[in-house]
Amino acid sequence: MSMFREILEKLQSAPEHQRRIWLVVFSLAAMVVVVFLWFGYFNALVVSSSKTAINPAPEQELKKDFSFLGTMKTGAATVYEFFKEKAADWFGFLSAPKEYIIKP
Amino acid sequence: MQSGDLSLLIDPPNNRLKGDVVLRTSVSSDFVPSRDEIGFPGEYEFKKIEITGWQILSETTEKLVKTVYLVKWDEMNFVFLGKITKVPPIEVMENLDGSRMMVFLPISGGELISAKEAAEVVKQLEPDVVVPSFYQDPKDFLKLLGQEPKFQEKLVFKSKDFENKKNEVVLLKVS
Repeated sequence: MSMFREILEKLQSAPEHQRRIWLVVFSLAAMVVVVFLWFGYFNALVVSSSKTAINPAPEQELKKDFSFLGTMKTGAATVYEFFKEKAADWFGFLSAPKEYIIKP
Repeated sequence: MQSGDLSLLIDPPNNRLKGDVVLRTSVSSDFVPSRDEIGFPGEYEFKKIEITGWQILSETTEKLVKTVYLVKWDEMNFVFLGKITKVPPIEVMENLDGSRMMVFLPISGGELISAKEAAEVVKQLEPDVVVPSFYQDPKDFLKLLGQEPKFQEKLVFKSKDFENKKNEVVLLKVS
């Protein structure tokens, strides 16, 4: 704790340009932590939503697609579907009851 | 079958028609379903449509798996009995319940369930609407249920249309 205090005091007494450098370094570190946590959350979200789908693909197949871009795309699609469903539910509630059509 | 932007295909004879979900009531035991296909017993969910399938053990062989499905789609319950040859066992029948129910079953005998047994199934399930499938002559079945033939090109309905209906048979014209 005292070490942390010393570092802060040192920073406070440091010249302006040095403090700016530390500000950038700390901001970057915070950003990395936030992105890491967010990415982890996305992964969990995608895995849980994939498990509700019909005929889920084998675990290995799911893991294979977990590149950063792949996860981002699937995550964005999941979030989009979620909001689309919510909007559809809301408008469905306001509009006429659902109609079914059966053809031979 | 279609509602909104979702469609469900049941036992399509070929791959010409496309649906969001394809249900197959009778498949070979080495059948490998694609991502949008359901061919074996189990519980499935697709965009708020709950599909549960039960295997008919008495009609399943080493080469062929027969499954009956209950599809819960919003307030509706659709039962697909497929190509059954006799009354499904009690342990399957007791799962097929729910309000606003529509049952699809064969009715005219031959290799499939006879009109008499089909009427027995209907009396046990007490659905709101019955849609015969794989039939040639519906006369015997209709007579057993005391109804006149009502042919329709297609069936369009809302769940509220099911009020005050019981065992009503709707025949769909095959074009």
